[in-house]
Amino acid sequence: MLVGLLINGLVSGALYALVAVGFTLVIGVLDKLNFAHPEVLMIGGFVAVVASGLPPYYAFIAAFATGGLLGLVVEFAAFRRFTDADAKITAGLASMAVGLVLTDLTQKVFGTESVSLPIGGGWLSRRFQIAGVEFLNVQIVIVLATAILTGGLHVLLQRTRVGRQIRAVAESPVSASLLGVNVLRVSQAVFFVSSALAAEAGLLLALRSGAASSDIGLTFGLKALAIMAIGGLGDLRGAMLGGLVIGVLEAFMFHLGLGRLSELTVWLAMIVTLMVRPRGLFSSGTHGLEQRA
Amino acid sequence: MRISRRTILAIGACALAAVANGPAEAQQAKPPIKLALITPLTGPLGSYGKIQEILVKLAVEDVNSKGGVNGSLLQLDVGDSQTDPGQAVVLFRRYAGGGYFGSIGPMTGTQWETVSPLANQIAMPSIALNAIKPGINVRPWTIRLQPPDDTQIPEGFKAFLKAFPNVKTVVITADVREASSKAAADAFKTIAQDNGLQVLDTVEFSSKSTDLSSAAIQIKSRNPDAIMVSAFPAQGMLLAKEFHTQGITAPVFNTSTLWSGPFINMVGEYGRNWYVIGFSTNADGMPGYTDQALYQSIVSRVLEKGDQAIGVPPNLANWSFGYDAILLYADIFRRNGIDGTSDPKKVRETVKDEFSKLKEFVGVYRYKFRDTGDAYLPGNILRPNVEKKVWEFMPENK
Repeated sequence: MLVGLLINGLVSGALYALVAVGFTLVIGVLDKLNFAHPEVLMIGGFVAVVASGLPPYYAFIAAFATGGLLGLVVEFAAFRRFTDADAKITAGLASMAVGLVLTDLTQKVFGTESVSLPIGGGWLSRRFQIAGVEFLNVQIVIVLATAILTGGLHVLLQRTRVGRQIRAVAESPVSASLLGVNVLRVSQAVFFVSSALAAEAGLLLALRSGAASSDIGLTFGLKALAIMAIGGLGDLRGAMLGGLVIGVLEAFMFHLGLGRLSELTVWLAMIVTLMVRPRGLFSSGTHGLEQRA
Repeated sequence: MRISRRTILAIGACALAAVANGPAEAQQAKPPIKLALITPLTGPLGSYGKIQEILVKLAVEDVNSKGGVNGSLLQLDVGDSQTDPGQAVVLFRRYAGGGYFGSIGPMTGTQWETVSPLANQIAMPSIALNAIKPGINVRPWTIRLQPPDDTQIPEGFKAFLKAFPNVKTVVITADVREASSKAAADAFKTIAQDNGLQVLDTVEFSSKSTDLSSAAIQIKSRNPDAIMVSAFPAQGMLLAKEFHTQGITAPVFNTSTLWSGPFINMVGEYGRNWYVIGFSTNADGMPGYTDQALYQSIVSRVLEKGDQAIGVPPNLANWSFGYDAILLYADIFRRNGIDGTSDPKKVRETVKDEFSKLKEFVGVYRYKFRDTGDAYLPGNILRPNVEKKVWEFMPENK
């Protein structure tokens, strides 16, 4: 049963990873912390509610588009006017305000309680067994979606023209601009992609738990923030690995009879990791470079 | 001076309005009696607060439609505690300083644990409706209508074992971050042992958990005959889904926390083997302890108000406590000749004295009061009807 428990932890970790990757993309490229990111995740869950009854791939497309568009809104409302290095805190606060507005609007429409998804007998809710533990097909989808989306992101960054521009902006927005890169467009692309990933994660989380909740952004999003720090700010590999490790550790806490502390796992792991490796597990991201300099 | 036809019409309309409003104005000759309700209208228990507000307002309407109390109408002001003890304290102090004769709420053990001592400090009577943690009601200024878990869990669990006599082993699982839930988890252990059951494991989790699959796997690995759960609806829902995923079919015993609120509206198929402590349903209250005619009248009016915010159908559960709190205040005011002109300080003293003498009260329910200031009603167990989204009495326990 322990093996099954740990595999289950890996699946949970895949979702953490997906959210943390989106967080880390913005900070890695633009050196900005987007506090509205968790609320885009939350809205992804409600896309699952709205799209329930439709084939799941419609929901995936809708979540990607909704998340991406919200990313553009966040970029415009909270970051566009705060481009100076000194305005990072203002931009962070502005993004927090946008996040709070999104939460409030969602609560106005869907209420403050969790909204259940219809219990369906479809393919996603079929079960299979590994090591004595039951898994749902939706958990396979979570792992596959995380792999495809993060793999796709890797290809986008490494193999495409847009990716080269994004990397150039990450290196130095000023130099990139002098070389003819449209920094605004790159910034918008980064927000679109990172928020689309968050919304997909929210959709998957809602499908997994059977409900969407307007509170999820805070709890899940903060965790993703800590995972990003564990992995190394701005490092996609770190966010991925950090998410998986935390998922497994949380599962293991229940095995040890310490389930009440499972929510603390991520914070304890962050403290320990940063004490041992102040730049996180990986340090190739923006902040790693800064600190090396 | 020439008066136009339009002016004459306007004067006539005003005169007619004055005549029409005459009785209401006469009725309001005395200032109203001010009562406060502190309940969560937003936050994680927002839907609980909304249905509570409906029931309390229903009672105020009913009292006022019969002429109010000693010539004064009741005036209810509602404060949103946001499910936050700090906010509940702020509101309570505000009402205490605002000439209110008494207050109702706040909800949950964590909030009542804070407000009940404060009520005694600042001499402001208050009635708790839903807090279930034992030993937190402070006399003489406060009483509690919801029977706490020290009587409800033992009696409810006895009823559960009557329905499931073959249960010999249990696993306890609880949200240990919430006061009532933690207290219930502690009580579960003692009660299981008192009933000769073996506790195989205690699986604790936090209110902030977003994934309880690991808890469900851990519980499954113990293979218990029954599971004892103490959780708020969000975590209850997660557990129900995960138990279903793991194929756990053992009966699940819950505190009254899931009896009220939207759990029954949302849980569907996942909740088929979930049972809760409770003593009234959308159909009726416990025989011998409920004024069935009054209960039916309340149920029929509340069912009409069902919507997304409070659930469809609304789950009546124990919300009639809110109705009874108003009846209780009105009864005290009436017997003591209190009206809106009375001095709030003296009224509060009178209410406190009445709270101290209170042995029995009959409203929707027939309450007996213990020395702790907590009401007593016998605990029972309810089963879900997941198709109709309502709780039902189990035939063997009715």
